[in-house]
Amino acid sequence: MKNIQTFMSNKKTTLVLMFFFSFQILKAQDDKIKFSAVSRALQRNNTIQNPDTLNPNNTGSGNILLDLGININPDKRTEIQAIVRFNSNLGGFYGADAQASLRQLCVKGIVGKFLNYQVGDLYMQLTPYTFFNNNSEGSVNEATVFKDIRKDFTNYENFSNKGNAWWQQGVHTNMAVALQKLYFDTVRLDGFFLRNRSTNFAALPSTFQAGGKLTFSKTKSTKFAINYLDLFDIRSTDKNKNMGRNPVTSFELNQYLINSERKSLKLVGEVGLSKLIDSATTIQGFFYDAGLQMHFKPKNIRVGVNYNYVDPFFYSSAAQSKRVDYGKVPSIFPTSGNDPLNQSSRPLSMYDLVADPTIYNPSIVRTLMPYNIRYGNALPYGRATPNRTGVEINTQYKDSAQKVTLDASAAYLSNIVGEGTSELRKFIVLKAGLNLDLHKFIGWEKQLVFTSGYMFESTNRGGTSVEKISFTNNLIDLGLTVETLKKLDFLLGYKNLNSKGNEYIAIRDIQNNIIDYAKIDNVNVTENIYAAGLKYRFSSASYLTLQNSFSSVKDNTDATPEFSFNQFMILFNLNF
Amino acid sequence: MKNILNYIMIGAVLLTILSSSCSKKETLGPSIQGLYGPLELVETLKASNSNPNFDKKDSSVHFTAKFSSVTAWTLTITGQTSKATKTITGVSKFLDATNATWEGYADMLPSFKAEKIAAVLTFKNSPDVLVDSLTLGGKKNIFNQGVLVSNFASGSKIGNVWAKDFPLITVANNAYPQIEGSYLYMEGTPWSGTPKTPYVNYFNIPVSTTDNPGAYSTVKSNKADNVYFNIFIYGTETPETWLAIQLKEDGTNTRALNIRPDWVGWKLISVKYSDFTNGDNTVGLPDPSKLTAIQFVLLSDAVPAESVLVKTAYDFPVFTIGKPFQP
Repeated sequence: MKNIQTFMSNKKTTLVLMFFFSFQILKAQDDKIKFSAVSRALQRNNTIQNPDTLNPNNTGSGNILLDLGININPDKRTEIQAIVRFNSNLGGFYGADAQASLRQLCVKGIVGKFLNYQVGDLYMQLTPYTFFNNNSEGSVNEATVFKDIRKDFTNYENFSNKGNAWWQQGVHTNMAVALQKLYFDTVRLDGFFLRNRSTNFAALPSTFQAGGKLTFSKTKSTKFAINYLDLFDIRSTDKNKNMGRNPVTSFELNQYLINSERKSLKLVGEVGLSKLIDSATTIQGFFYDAGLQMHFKPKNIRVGVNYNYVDPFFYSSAAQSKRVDYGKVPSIFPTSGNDPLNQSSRPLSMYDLVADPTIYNPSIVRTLMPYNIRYGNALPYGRATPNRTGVEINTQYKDSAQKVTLDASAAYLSNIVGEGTSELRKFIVLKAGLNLDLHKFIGWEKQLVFTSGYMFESTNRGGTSVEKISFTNNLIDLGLTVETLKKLDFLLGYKNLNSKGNEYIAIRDIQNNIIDYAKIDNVNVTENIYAAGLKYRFSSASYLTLQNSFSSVKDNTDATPEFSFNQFMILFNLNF
Repeated sequence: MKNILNYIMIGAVLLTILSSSCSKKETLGPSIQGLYGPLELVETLKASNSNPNFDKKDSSVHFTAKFSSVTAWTLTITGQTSKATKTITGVSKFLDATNATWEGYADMLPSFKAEKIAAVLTFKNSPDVLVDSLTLGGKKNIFNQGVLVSNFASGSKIGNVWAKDFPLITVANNAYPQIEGSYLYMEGTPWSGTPKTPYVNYFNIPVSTTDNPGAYSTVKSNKADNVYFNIFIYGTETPETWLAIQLKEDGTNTRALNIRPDWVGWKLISVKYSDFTNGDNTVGLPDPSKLTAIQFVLLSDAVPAESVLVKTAYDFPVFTIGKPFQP
């Protein structure tokens, strides 16, 4: 009996202690573990408008997912971040298509008091000539009805939703030191080592990317930086032993010439060198970019002008790899034509650029990737496009009440060396984006916002009748957001792209040498996307939207049949 | 600070001077005018020898022609009886021995015979067609390229030197057309018991000249990306047939190539040694000089596997150095 009492007494003590410790553990976990999440439900039904015999006339797909972010702080100097994805395809039978996977994982922290580090999945960006994920084509200040799906589905799914940064895996460290009795106030050192590609033990060696940035800063006056990175293969991981490297070095300078309360004038510039090396050859190239940026502070007007020169042999993999892989096949209605024995892939359309994550490119590659001249012919590889030189003028304006927001630029560029002829291409690029918050003009308490964008791009080359080029792109983006009831928006969007003319597209070998041309003759194509929808905003980042869009690609020469389809979409996007 | 700025500005000026003074190429890539412009013929197509004999005195024939500008051209050489073809392409202002030499080989089977030959020159961007004709006095002996594993002239080694399992393996010469004498024929179905497996039969050939299973072949190169394995395989119109070819190094390391012969008739397969994939327990980089045997494994894709008779025929497995076998 005594034993039983003792046991009961001990049991109570044990339970009290367990409760106490559990509480302590939970409390500790509360401090050390935090959760965040993105949840999305998406259903899309597509109906082809010009039925063919290869694609089904109607397709539908959808899924619901939860990306659960777990932040663990084992101590005050270390943080482990993991995102675990739970995904269930709509239409699966009792979770038949349900999956759980690790989407992202990284560890970051501080060593000592000054060295920050991050290991695992990370985002990396330097300058537009060194390490930069250029924006995808086919939009200039596009409407909210398109922007939502591009941002929260397309870019989110392919890890390109962090501006112009590339998603990579590796390690990144940085440290900053304050300087005394020197011209510069601080010096910061960034270093990174990234895994670019694994070997397949046959034809592809393992590839890594390593580099860093050394930045000297003087507050409100000067910033000088040195960037270096190298994309390199590891010897002995490839049986063919054809090793490659692409080191790039650049020097940046931002120097305020005037910096008063009313205005500032800043000198900005970058110069750099590149090498593209393989077992047999080394190709060297260089670039420079210099300009002035004026800011009229009271009126919030910025005006800039710059001149750049990018050598025909300047190759910078991490700045020239394209965000969109034009060699990929769209996931919606992937084929074209009616001949089952001679099927061809449907070329990517403007709607695919907006809403198909599978066509996006996650990798940095050394060879210049293909592009579509209809979506951008002047600067297919961004500012780092080789064989370009010219002047750009840009301006931005936002009034104090933010009724009007304007962003416009004009560029005149040319080839430095002719491609297949001594004649040089001349490019004119005009871009403008204008937002009007109309409700502020009329004093309406709900939102009434008009967005618009326009891009004109022309390419011309003289010479013989065979060498002549004349090609133009006109892109229009229009959008309207009307808040009908509180937080319930009616959305309208329109995109129009018109391409006309002829061009020769360079076909390059693995060393980027031009070996042939694809002759593109008699282009006259019009693309339209009309969209309308409703959007209910739960918060700034969480919403439910229902949209219907109609997309068409029409070859005005009737060389290929018109392709058009209708899409109804429900998107529920939740951030918490 | 002024010094730093001065240095940078001087650097920028130097780069500007460099960019303007560098001896740049005048153009990049081939001439567009040549590729797509009108073509003027300066000199017509002509063979260097109108009656070559590749069997005896002649190692090659070259063709000549001249144009007004660089152009993309295609020279197609066709045997009038055999229908064998050889295609040579180029982008240039002329054809000569440097870019239009024919050594008597074809692009694919069939090979050329002693026969009338038509040479036709066409252009990417011009309807012009230039023609010349030749008479081939003697055909090329295509079977003296590289290190031959076997031409299966005799089946006497089957079952003793050349190890195998129980289903049919034989040297045949009448089931299908011959490439060069008899060929090796395998057929069978997987074992009907359990466990189920696609395996039908294997056939192991030591590659040394002495048939010693532990000895190396006479392929002396250790550069796997410079050695080609070539073999003629007959498409037997049994779509379930699956042939795995395994290279054995030092008797243990295995590197494999899986082939589904979905074609009709004979086809020449040429694969770089380095493109064979490693077996599960294979270690080290591929090394053709360590080759000791080749194993042909007949498998079946049929479901159920034992329901369909799969069959394959192959001939003339040969290793070549530097380039694939030419028919």
